[in-house]
Amino acid sequence: MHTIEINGLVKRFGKFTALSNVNMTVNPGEVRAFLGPNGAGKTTTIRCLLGTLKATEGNVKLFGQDAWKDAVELHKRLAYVPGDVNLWPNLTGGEVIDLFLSLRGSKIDPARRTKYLELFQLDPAKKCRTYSKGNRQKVALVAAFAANADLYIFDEPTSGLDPLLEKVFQDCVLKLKADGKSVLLSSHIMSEVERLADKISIIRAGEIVACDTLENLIAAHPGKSLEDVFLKQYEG
Amino acid sequence: MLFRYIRLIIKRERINSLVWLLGIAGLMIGFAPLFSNLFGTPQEMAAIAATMNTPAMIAMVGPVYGLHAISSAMVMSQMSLLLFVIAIACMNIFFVVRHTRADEELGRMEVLRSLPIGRLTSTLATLTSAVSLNIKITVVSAIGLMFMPMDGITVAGAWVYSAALGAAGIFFAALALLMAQVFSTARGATTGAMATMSALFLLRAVGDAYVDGNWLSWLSVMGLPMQTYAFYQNRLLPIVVMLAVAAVLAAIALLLCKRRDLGEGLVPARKGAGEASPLLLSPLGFAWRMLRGSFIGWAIALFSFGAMYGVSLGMDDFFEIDMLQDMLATMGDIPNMAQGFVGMLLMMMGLLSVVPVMIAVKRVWGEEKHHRLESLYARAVPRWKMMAAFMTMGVLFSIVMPALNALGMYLASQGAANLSLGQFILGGLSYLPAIWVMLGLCVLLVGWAPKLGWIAWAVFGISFFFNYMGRLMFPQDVAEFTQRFTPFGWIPQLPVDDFAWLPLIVLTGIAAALSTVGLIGYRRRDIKL
Repeated sequence: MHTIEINGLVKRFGKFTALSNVNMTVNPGEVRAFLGPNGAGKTTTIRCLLGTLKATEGNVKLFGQDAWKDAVELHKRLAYVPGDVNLWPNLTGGEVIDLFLSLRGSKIDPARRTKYLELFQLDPAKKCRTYSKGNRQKVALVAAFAANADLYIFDEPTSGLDPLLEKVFQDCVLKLKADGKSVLLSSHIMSEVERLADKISIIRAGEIVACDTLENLIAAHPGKSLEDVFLKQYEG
Repeated sequence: MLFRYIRLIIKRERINSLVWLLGIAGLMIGFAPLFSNLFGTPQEMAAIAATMNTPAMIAMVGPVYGLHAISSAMVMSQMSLLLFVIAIACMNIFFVVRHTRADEELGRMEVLRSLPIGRLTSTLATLTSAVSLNIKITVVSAIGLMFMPMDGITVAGAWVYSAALGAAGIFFAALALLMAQVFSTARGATTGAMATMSALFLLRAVGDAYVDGNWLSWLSVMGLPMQTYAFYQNRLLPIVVMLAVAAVLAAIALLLCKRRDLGEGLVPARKGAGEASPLLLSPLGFAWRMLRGSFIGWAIALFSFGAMYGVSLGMDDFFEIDMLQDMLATMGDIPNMAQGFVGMLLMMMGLLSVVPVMIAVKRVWGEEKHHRLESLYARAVPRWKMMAAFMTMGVLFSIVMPALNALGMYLASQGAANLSLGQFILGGLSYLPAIWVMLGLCVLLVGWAPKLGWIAWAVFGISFFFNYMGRLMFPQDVAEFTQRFTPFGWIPQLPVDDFAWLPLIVLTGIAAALSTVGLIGYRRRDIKL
């Protein structure tokens, strides 16, 4: 059984077609990178996976179950970090982390929570209104990593983090991989993708145009790096 | 999970809810003694109630009932229930939109929805919390009123009176819940709910005052609370009807919520212009754009208020109300009742016009607080120009609002007070220097200590109290003395008093000084990053 299985996903908003043909299969224990320029449909695809958007056509399955119909059951097994983290100004970071963890329905693991708070150097006693973008992102990251899930979905999770914390994030993802968890990572940071991803899906204008390992992609599209491959997709 | 979500809402609302609870239930109880003191013997009260029984009054405050058996409790209910219904409606609309569409629009809902909670959880939790807040208000108010030593108070009456309010609140919570599904922005949802409330108010006003029988009032939830005839017949049917309608609306809202995408509404977000109009491209144009909506809203509101009171000027028996006469007496020697009333109204409306002016000036701090001015000041925009732009808007508001109000009053009075349009406008505009002092105070606070901005509201509250409530509650000499602590107390009350330049010039000077010092501070202090 696949962790993620998307077949012929189409999503329209009125007349506008956001996704015209998305296919993706992610296996257990795999780290899948999801690349594409702004507006190509990465976030829309992820929202269909999370069941916050309903697919117009096609199948979207997680762990063999329908992402829209069985959303609640499925969400017990996944953790998600959005690209743009907005929090409640009058709650503290620690309160929000506990809230997210407790709403998962399983017990909070205090040791794990403390570990990630320290790794990401987050002061949980501050009100969210005082957090910078990077700190708000840390709140979401700690809440995700402190959860014991089978699938972790990250939507441009490190856009506000410094290189040191970026490194921490990568190590945390590698640890998940070592534990046999699946990860879907949407990112613009090529070095991050090169280091972490088993396979890479590239989306363009609502359609998946390439899906392979890093080596194969570079071999198929003459170039030196992933960045060359990525740019070729859109410039050529 | 529902329970946990409710706990989140309670945590976020811990202070807000308390303020609303104490505010509404507290005033329901706190107003009561006022009514038992204001009105004397049953005969006097019957006379007052009879004079309240005019279309204009009924359109404003609601229907009159049980004239032959009138009591203080009934007068209280007839004169204040509608006011509280408006307050509780606003509370519920803000509450529900804050926890549904606003959270969704700001992207907070997205993370929550990635957790194993159902599509309806947030909606249900919001509804449950809102209902429970309304019930709390009902219970506190009912218990408080039950034990009020006042004629006409009965246990059943206290509960029906309070429950009518609570049920109306629950209706507006359900309405807002529906609007939050229909519109894709928090602003759209709030506006939709508020517009519906205004329409229902109008329906009620027409139904109560101008239509035979009360069938039209029964069609409006703004009219139903008063149809309970609290402290008289204590009818339960209106409460049942309100709750039933609320249940239907909530069911539709839940159905819509279950089927729709996150972030989407039935009405899509409007598209704007792709290019900025040249008007927007200066600090002044920017300030106007930020305040355009509130300008239009307040202009309509103040014109309508003026017109509403203007209508009542033509009604002679209107002035036989004791309370009015008490207030008018504080104005000294008055040539005729209607003119005295105009003077009092213009003062009240002058006070009210301060609110949009203060909002206009404080907006510059609002923009700063949300880090939006940062990117403007990073460009070649002098700070004083930005502040001056918002001040200019404030001055514009301060002239347009009282003038429109006076115009509305003039047009609707149809010559009843024997005053020319010029006299109305001059009377309205004579409060300008006092309004400007408040404007200057806001500039001063934003310039030097924006976090102390509440002081301006406190000064406004005190001004309102001394100039309006103070006249009712204090002996005349005390009232006249305490008024002098506020800028408004120094303004000659046209058309009754003689026009006097000196206080106007002095107040304008104070306003200019406050503004200048504020501008200096604004150039010197750190911009919040």
